Amino acid sequence: MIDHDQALTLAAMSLDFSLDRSANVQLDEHLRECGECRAALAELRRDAARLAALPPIAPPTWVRGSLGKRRPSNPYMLLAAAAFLVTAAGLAIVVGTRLLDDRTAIVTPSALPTATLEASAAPTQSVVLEPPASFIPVSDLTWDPLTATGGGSGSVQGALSFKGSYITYGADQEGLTWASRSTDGRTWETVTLGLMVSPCPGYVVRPDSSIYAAATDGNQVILTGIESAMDVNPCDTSRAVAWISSDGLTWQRSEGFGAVNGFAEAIFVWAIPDGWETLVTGAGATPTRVWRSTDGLRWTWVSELDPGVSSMISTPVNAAADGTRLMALYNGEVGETIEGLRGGESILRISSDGKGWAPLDVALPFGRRVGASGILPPGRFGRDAWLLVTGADEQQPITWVSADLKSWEQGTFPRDDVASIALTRYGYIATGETLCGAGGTCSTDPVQYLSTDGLRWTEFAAPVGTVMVDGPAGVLAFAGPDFRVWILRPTTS
Amino acid sequence: MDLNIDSEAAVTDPVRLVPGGIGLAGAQTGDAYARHAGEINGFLIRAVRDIEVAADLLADAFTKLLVEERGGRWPDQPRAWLYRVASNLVMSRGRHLQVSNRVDRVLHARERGRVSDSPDVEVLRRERRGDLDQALAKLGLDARTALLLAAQGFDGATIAVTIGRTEVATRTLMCRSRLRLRELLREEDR
Repeated sequence: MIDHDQALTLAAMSLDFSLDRSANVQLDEHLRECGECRAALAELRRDAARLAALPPIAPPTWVRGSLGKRRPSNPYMLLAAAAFLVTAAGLAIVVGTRLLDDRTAIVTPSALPTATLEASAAPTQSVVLEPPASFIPVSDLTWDPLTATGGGSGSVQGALSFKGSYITYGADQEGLTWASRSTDGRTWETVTLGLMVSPCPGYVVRPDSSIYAAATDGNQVILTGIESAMDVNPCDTSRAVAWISSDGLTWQRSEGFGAVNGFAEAIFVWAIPDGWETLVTGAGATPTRVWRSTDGLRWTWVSELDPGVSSMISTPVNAAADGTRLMALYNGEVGETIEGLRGGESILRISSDGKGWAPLDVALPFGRRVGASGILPPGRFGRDAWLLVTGADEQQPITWVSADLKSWEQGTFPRDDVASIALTRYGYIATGETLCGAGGTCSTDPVQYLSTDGLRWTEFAAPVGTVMVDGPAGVLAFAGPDFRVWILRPTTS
Repeated sequence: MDLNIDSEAAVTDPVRLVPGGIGLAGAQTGDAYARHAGEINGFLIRAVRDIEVAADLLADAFTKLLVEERGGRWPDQPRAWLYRVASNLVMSRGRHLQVSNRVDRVLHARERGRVSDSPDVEVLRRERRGDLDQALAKLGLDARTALLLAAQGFDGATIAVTIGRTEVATRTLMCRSRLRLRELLREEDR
């Protein structure tokens, strides 16, 4: 016999999803005996009916006139796509400095699931290449096709490089997550990650997770996201999860963690000198927490953002190899002040240990926020400065550069949006786009820009994809659902 | 240290009032606009809670539909297709950068008569004072979007695909959101 809470959960669930037979029977039995739960179900139905009765609202007249005169673009979406890209560029920064890290080998807990490439795959030898100590000067850059396809199917969400190989990750059309590895950008070996959780009794096997972020410390690569929790009661809630690998082919899945009231997702992850940290958000007003792990498998939370800081606030985080963490908070809630941060305000916070987050003495203009991929730490290719990319509605992006996080220089990005940005051996490469608005006559074609200082940007090519990564064979880009791989060819000066 | 820049110089103010727009090749899109723009605009406003942002997203969604029409790829179910695109636009901006605060500019725009040119805005104002809207505002963007999609008649599996989550995660999200909404409405009643 189920209790009240379980009955309420099933009742709420039944409004949108078919319950399996057993759950239906249990709910019916409970409702027969429980007038309070019958009343609660009726209230839930009334709420649903009220929502359904909300009237249409005529749009402003300009909208219809604008159709076909504007390029369908959304700066937020473009920057969102770039999140994974900078995960590749920004978090891979530690690669060069930590290639010789002598961390203890991972001990594999037998209870934790592992995904391995089929044995038939040819073994690949990792060649660890030292990244250039400084940017390679070039007079021009062009993209050449490298291979027609590679890795998993569906879309490439992000990429990074470690130990002489490229790692890409994504999800196929069914939502099945995967990770793929290549040493040369041409030959890819793919491992499915999204079927590592045993389904609840009576459930069919289906994709069980989503990947949101990735990082590397040079020795290992870690992915974080959300998974279905099938081993708890009630079955089928959601929680944060990580996958970790030392070679990109064999992946261990962490224990699920972070769930408050049955929901959590790990949306950013970064390497620290003695392990990993990830930012976990929950549903509604659940506090956002920083979780830490030494092995990527078992996690404990080390700090909690202000009680009011929940998933309603955007909180991109990144870290430098020395353990300095930088977090950008932006309150996007219309008209609401949360923990002293008015809607539309941004602040930066710094931490040396992941526990205490002190405000940084930088005031970003009202309405301007750091994008999900907008924090690029120093440390690779001789870069000793942090780069921040901020956007604002109907204003051009601003890039901010600082070596000490005290004194900042700023540059205006030449287009309306930064769709993606990566730190490469040639400098920062950013994909820019112009939003013409209705009736605009400007060119809306995305263009890529190169900058060696993060402040001045030189146009060089039409982009071929928004996910880019610098690795052993060069700078690669991945174009769309067919996963076509392109390589950046320099013309040296 | 203050890094305020000269924002005036950087502002781009796209011209929006353009006659025409949907050309001969956009007849189906025009029909779809007439049928669905109001309901999808209502969905977008309630999801992102900003009239201007919603209008921008609505324009993006219908422009994408126009592109599909011109490319000979008219969707089998344009209403569902539009909701999916609109939801993706909402969720994409919500997940990584959250809804921007444009209240001040909306108010300024209203003063200039650019936004509040629809009698429906008064409906919206009344709605904003209601308990249901207040409760919706307290839900997360993803939860709000999922419930609003359900209110438009989409089933859970379709909503999962639409908002880009697994069915499992969507089930949990929606279940908790409905219970949370009830709790908030009950608090409003007290």
